[in-house]
Amino acid sequence: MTKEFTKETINELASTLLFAINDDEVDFLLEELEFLKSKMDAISNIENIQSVEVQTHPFDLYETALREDDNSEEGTAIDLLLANAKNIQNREIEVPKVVG
Amino acid sequence: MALKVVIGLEMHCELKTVSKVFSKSKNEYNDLPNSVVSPVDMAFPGTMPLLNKEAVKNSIKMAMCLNCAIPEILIFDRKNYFYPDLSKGYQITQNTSPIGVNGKIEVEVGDALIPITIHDIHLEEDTASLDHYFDYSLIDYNRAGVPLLEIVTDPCIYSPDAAVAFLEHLRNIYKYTGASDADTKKGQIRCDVNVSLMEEGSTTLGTKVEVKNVNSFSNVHAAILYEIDRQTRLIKAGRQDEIIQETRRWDDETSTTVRMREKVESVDYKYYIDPNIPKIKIEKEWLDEIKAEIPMLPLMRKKSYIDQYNLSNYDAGVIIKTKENSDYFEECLEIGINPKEAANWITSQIMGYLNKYNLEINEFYLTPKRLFEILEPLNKGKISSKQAKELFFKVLEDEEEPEVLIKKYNMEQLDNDDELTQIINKILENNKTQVEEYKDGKTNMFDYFVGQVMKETKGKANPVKVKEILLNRLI
Repeated sequence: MTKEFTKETINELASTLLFAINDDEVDFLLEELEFLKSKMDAISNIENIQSVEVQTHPFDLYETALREDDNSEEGTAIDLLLANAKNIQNREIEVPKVVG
Repeated sequence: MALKVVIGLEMHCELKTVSKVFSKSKNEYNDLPNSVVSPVDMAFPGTMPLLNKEAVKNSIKMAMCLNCAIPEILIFDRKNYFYPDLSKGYQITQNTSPIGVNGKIEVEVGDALIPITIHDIHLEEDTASLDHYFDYSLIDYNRAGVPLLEIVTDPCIYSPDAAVAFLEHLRNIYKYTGASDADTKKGQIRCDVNVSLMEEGSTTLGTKVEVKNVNSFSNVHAAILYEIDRQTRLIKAGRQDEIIQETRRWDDETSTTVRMREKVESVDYKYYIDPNIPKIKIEKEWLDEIKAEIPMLPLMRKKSYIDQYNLSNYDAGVIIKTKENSDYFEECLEIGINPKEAANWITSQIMGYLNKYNLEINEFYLTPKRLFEILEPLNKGKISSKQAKELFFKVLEDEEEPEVLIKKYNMEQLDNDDELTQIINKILENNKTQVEEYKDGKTNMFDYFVGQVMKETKGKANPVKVKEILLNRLI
């Protein structure tokens, strides 16, 4: 069985991750996480699950040909590259500062 | 209680390739922000990584040079963390099956060779770079996706000098193999330094403190010294509980390490195998080809210079210090300069000049060919050693060929017997008292006469001939 989620656990995680979170959001997350936990518990209960190798590639095929490094391409035009960015300053994306 | 420092290093170095490790964007340093960025580097939906063969090849070269075991199957993993420098929300790196493991090399520290064991070498993508301002940060994705090789040692280094010697040795291997330009000025090398103190004779490692993102070797040295001092003071004051497993950063302005975060709170990266990158089989034939491309490495070159050319340990050490110096020396030999003579000029005149003007040997006007053109007339007795040194500086000042300058400055040595005899006769005539003194047994007057001849000829007289003629005339 996996560890129980509590309001304290969620607040502690939010604090570690520097997220501000209100009580409603804590309740919502608690519900979501309990649902996810029930699925994880169901998987954990499968017999010998620990010895099953994680499947990342469906077939045992190996690549031997890699991309040749014989040329490069021009960078994407700046207006296109930053089209989805909310704040731009001097060709760079502006984000809130998250380190001291 | 005697304390011993234990150091482990993680050295990140950007590899030399035409394009980035998973995209076809240019892998080049560019001052213009976001100018060498593709949709793959920005993690736009629908893009897929395509692994660069040259990046893998350069990584394998380094793994071979460090005597690592290389796996038959290469696997890439996702290292998940949330930070603005990471467009995908994860970094493609290697955790399950790195490109090299369990390596071992020997590094020269002073006169001793010390063994250093390599835990692993892994190929990954570099992150975007962030510039921090008062209340915001700016992201430049030019660096995102540049191939980055991380070399991780075991905690097996026991002094700051050994740590720096190891890093310099690695930088040299990068340059000798051409796997990277390894230029610290361009930020191509960054180091994380793990420092702990343990009691001398103990087998239990002390609490490890990690100093992240140290970007010069002198700062690595300074950061280790600072941590030794800080941790020693705490232990001696009975406050060892205050040494906690934490991540610190080097602060250039104060020359101290500053706490970033406690390791116990550090993020669990939730590594898992990247399903977007196929597992790659490394064929034995390819490994053989790569091995054949690896040139003779610095310590082997040094040994061959000492054994084959009888160079001193010091001279050989100076020459192999950089690949460029070593290549210059070998080019000198190829065009016929005597090895000892080449070594003497490189370690004295040439290094002195380069250091004084902060130049690199590969941007030096005096090529091996021009050095040959200075040494040839010297060895044939056409110019004196003093003139050769003058000519060396004239070539660099005027940026003209030695042959032209010998004529321009009338530097050819005076070795005509008749002319020299005339000059010597005149000097002896004008110094009769000194001649008498010489004949009365004051033999050191001989050097006085030689000096007078050199003065009269402005240093151009062939000293060997001057001595011959003088001896005959003074009988």
